[in-house]
Amino acid sequence: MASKSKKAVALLLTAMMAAAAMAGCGDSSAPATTVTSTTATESGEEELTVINLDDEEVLTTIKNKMKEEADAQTGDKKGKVSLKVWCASTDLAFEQSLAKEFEEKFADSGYELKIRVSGAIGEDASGSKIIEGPEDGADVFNFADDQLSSLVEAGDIAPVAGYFLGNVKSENTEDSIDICTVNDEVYAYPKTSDNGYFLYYDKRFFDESDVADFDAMVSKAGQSGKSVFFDMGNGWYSTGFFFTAGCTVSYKDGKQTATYNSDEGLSAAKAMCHIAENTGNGFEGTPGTMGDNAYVKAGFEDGSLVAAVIGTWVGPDIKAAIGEENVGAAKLPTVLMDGEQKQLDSFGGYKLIGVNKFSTYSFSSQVLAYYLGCPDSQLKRYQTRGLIATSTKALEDDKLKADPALLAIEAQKPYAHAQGASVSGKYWASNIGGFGGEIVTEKGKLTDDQLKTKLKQIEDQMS
Amino acid sequence: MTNTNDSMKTGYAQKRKAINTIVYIILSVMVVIWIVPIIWLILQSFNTEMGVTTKFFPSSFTFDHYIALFTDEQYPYGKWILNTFMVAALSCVISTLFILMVSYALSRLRFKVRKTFLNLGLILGMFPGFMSMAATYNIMDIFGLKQQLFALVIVYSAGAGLGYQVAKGFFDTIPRSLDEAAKIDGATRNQIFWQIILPLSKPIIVYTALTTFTGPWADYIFVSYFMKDNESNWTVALGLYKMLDKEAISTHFTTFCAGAVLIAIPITILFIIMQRFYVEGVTGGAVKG
Repeated sequence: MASKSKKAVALLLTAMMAAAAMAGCGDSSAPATTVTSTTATESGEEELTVINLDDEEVLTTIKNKMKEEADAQTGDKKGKVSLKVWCASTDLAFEQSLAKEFEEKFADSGYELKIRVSGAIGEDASGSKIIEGPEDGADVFNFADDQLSSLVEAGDIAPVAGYFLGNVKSENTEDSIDICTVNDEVYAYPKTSDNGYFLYYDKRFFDESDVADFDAMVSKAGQSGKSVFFDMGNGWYSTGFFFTAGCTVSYKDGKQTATYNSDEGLSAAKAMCHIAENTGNGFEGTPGTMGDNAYVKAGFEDGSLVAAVIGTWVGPDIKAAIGEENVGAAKLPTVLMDGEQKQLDSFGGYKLIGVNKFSTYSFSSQVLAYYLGCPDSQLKRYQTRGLIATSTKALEDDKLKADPALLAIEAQKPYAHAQGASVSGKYWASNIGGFGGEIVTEKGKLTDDQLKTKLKQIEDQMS
Repeated sequence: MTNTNDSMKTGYAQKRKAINTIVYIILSVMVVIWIVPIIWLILQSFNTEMGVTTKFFPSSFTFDHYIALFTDEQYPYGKWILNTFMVAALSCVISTLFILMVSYALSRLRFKVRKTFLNLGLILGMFPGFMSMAATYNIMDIFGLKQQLFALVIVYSAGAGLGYQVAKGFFDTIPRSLDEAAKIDGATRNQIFWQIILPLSKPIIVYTALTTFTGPWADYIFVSYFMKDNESNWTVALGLYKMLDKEAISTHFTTFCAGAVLIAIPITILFIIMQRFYVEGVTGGAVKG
């Protein structure tokens, strides 16, 4: 008899708890609006909710879930949520300020919230470091989009939580969501759309009409003892020539293809040689030992450079060097290839925020990742760091809308190729960088046969 | 006879002079080759321009980079120096004790596997320590010492005993009759080691202490693998290297130079003071090595 009543009480309690849990769900979705996802699955259109972080009820729901996670870690004592973030060392101060905001916004008496931001592992290396040892990795990490496929393959990145999926999909540009989607699942929070390069120039020296043609720019700069910089010794930049020539560069199912040992490959190489002929006379093609970012910064500071092909990460430095009003940005110029002017192609991509699948605080990490990538944070990121947002709301900002860097990226977009789909580690391990470097040091004086041998060598190294 | 002797002498003197001149020229060139990078480093550490320059002499000088070393929160150099010093000092004490004890035992005691152990130690010592880095990292994780400075101390000093060769050579040169005399007076092995042998072995103690201190002081590979992103537990070698990252180099190169100059000062002073023991130590041990 006694055991029976115990059972009944247990059942009743379970039912009550279930009801309470359901009520919790209901509450959380109550203040939210419902949108229809753009990526419909076979089973029909899935419905996603959009939440508002400023809403009290949403905030409470999130805090309760974070408290659960905190309690699960510490048991009886006051729970602790401690998260680690990896970002680029140049962005450290800014990302720390966002983390501080997050700590304040989601502070609760039920747990202690602590976030540590580290600039030790940059965006180019974070993906591989996570794969190397996910347990030691950051809970939330910033990374360049080309690492996404390997992170998904390795199973070390957690998909975007359903709770935030509606927001992420509705708040960011479609292109950026496509990049974050692997096998119909969104795996990362888009952050910036500027992981590519374009042309920065000094408006006092070049007019808008000047920057359309590479040769014209070089000869104008050469006459005044100035230089135009394009880092041919770096494969990330020089690959643009091969795209322009029409070479197939692709990475699919673990296989790297690059048809450089071909007529197109030779055309690209000859176009590079043509430009490199003016090395030291209006053109500079290698940054020496100091790295391209430092070289461009120093070049604009001492006035020796009047234009450079580089990305937004050097933007603030160039602005500081020559004054914001003098900074011009444009799509890449045309180059002389096979006797005609052709638009130079490029790599273009995104920077994303990922959540470590092995994080102890899986939900809290998702909250933080969303917060770092939410429209307000993206806008602040642009205002402080000059990085171009993916959020449609942030892109409506007057200053961002008119930013020459954004316009340049947009203009270059038709000629920009996604890194993840084109190249893998094998590509970078080939001699593609050294090839361009040699063209520059030889000032383009290489015969067709020499070029062909080297191109064949590069292609062989990749297969 | 005298004439020929004289001419022979002058011929010899001239030849000697010529050889000396050539030797001095070669030496001067080598001095320049060795010194120039150091002077360049020192000059750059005072350069007002932040990035890498190709100019040898900076156009203007500043002391700011040295101040920045201790004020920049992103690169807490002061903390790193402290970490490095603690790790190096602790490893130095532990390793020195290990090495001296192992060497003494191998030099004085005769036991069954002594010869085998000597050979085994020699062969094991040939494998670089970082070979087992990943395994060691996981072992430290089991001990709960992941990304802790003490893990570094253990790594640097645990295998120190294998470096017994030089110290054992030194102990072999101390007459065994001293041990025997002490034994007759009733001293134990332990007393002989601490009270008879060690006071006679100052050179080799200094030599061992110096080498075991400089190893951890300059080590990069273990720190970078063990500390990963835990900046507050980095040592100077890793911290300075991070200043040369492509993202940081344009703003931190000169700070790096300043840091490199500072880190060289304590170890240079240590070497100058200990130099005379150092030379004695190496040769003393090598005589019968």
